Amino acid sequence: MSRQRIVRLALVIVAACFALGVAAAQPWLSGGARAVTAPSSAYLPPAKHVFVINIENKGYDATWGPSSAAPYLSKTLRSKGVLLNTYYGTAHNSQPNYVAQISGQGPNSQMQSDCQTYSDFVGTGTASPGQAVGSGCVFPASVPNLTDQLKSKGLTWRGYMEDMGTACRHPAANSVDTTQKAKPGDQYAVRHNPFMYFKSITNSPDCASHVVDLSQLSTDLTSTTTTRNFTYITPNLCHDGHDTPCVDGQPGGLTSVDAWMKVWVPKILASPAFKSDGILAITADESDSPQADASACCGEGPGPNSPLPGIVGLGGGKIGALVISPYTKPNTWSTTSYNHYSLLASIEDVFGLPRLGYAQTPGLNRFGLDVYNAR
Amino acid sequence: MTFSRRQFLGAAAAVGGTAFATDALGSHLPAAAATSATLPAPNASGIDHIVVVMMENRSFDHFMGWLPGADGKQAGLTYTDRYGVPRSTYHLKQFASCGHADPDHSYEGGRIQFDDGRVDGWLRAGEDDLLPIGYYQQPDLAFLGQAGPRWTVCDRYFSAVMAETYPNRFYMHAAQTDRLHNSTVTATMPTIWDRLAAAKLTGRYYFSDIPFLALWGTKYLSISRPFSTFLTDAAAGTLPQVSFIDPRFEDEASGTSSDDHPHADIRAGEQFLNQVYRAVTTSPNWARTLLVVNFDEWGGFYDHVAPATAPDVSPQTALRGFRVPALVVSPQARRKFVAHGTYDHTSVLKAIEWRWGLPALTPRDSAARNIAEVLDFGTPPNLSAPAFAQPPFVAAACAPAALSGPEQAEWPDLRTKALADGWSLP
Repeated sequence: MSRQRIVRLALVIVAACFALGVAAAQPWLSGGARAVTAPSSAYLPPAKHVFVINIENKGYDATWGPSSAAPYLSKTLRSKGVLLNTYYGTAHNSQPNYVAQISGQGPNSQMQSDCQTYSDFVGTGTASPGQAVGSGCVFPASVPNLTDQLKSKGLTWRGYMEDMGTACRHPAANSVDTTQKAKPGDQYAVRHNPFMYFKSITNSPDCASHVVDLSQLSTDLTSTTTTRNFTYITPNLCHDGHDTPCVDGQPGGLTSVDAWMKVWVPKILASPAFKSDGILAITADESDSPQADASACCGEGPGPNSPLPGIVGLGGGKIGALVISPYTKPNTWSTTSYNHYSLLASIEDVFGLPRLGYAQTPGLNRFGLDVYNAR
Repeated sequence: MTFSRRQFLGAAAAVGGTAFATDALGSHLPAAAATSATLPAPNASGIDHIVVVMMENRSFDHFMGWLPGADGKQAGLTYTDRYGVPRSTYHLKQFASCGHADPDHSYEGGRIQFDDGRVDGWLRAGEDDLLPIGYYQQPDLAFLGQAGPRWTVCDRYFSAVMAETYPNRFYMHAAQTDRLHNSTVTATMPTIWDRLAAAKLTGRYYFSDIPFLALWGTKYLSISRPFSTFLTDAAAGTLPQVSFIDPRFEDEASGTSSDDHPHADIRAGEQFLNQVYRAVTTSPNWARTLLVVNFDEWGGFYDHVAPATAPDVSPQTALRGFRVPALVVSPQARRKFVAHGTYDHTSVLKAIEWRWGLPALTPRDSAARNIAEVLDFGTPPNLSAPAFAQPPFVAAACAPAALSGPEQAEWPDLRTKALADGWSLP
């Protein structure tokens, strides 16, 4: 076969594959105008370190708008990455949003009330996609989460919780959660620490080495080997903007968020792991309140345990997310719709893991070349 | 003006001559015709009426890329989607775009598509499916398919700002925008209507269903008329100095509007344009009229030419949007002509200001090239204007779809505002 003929044949094969791809990807034929599915993961960056930071209860305009009270976050940091302006929370109130990010589980009413009691989840079965049916807060070990997936693939992770002090701190089973209100010197909130709601984590002897106080992060960032593949950070009730003013007299809200970001984000951005192959996502758990915005995106609908994940609507409202990475271009936009389930799916994509729970939603957008837009 | 013979031949070669073959005219475009950019004295221009009709949401390549002699590209382009899959441009076989997502054409989405001048992000914004890289061909367009090759088309006419409908329509009236997104906050920007009124000239705004000028509250209620009045004014030979005409905006989601905005059936838009064209070219005012057909913005549809910045009231809005189709019809218009000069919506304002000696509104129209440049003032007016048959059709109606945020803010909210302010709507 001549070289020319080989090339021509190859082109025919490519064309044939392409034609099939197009046929399969014409969603309007089946009625839904959703994004095409990816036949390969070649577009994914070779990232090995993912960092996630959540702030509390801030809608898109409050955090990212031109008059944001967090200028360092909304201007300085924003100029370093891609702003996802159609990113949504998945529930109200806080707790189910965090749980969504690491497991794809939808809310039930106890979760929506932020798990005032640290109750065991009582299950009655399962529903597609990957949902535990029942009520309660702490899922049995049979309900998988991202950290189980990471562990099974030999990947490392840590949750960094500001003010937690004692590693893996959580209430006793079925007792009242006393961290619902901040105390001077202890503004840790269990409900913003999703790892505490999975027995596969809390019942494990290595829980205390996985879910640690934020103060540990500085040390862990010093080298690529000490930085975990997955780093999940929750500031305290003051620094995540939840309280205004804070119990210790700080201003709270986005002012305190901004001050915290100025301390911690430069450490991440300067770390060898981030600079080599990191992805940092900064978002909020939900909008200001169910009344402010309980809209949803991305096909989120009623779940088996809650007809209205956002209490008065289907979602947690539009909150936005900022992604900074060597794989993203500074000061760019993504206008594609995403939510916390998309974030989970995107993290699973990066680490080559199967998708859990609602991260499996058909047609769900995952970060693509709109987010990984550097070249 | 730059009319390059090489560009013309290159573009003709690129379309493989097929457009010539399908063109029953059988004559060639005057490729590198020597032209003079010198404008006559405004009073001696022969233009006493300027009519502007602004459609919605189509890019040049997507709608007019087939035009011989123009810098258009259709078949054979490849764009990579969000998930790294290369996709080829293709001929759209449906007149409406039922079942597709409305392509992203927001301030932010435009910047994704622009991609720092690479203009390759057509499948990476919003919820975009493959609609943005589809194109129409000459036989698909009952009006522009016939009028385009016979009159003057501009192939470097850009939407004024890389943003959605309202910002661009604001530029059409005011040479600036006070917002980046559609919203119904009352505008206070000075407009061409103020300039005309101050000079004791007559300007009229003819609307089909929703009056865009209601964004200024009731300020322009007195110069606004229903579209049917345009037809009677044209027939009676009582056209004002300046007329702006808007198509029917509502029912975009169902595909039954006549503004060409997805999901509209484009045959309805073509029929509407033909109606305007017929009214103008058969009017007693025709001998002294300039008709400009343009589109507000690119609508998220692909175009291969990167826009650049222009002088503006703000650096935030200085970047023009992508190219849109623009057709120039007049007894003074060159026939079978493609003009390559760079224009945007404010180039039409510039022509109005030039003709009647009005001061510019902003740095944008002040610096704009005058679209009257494309006219031929060196030869006597040519009053001939072919009529274009419009085949009958039944507009495709899409299954009702929920409006997205920008669409809701676009027309239903403006209707509400207009009614609340005391406009009476058809």
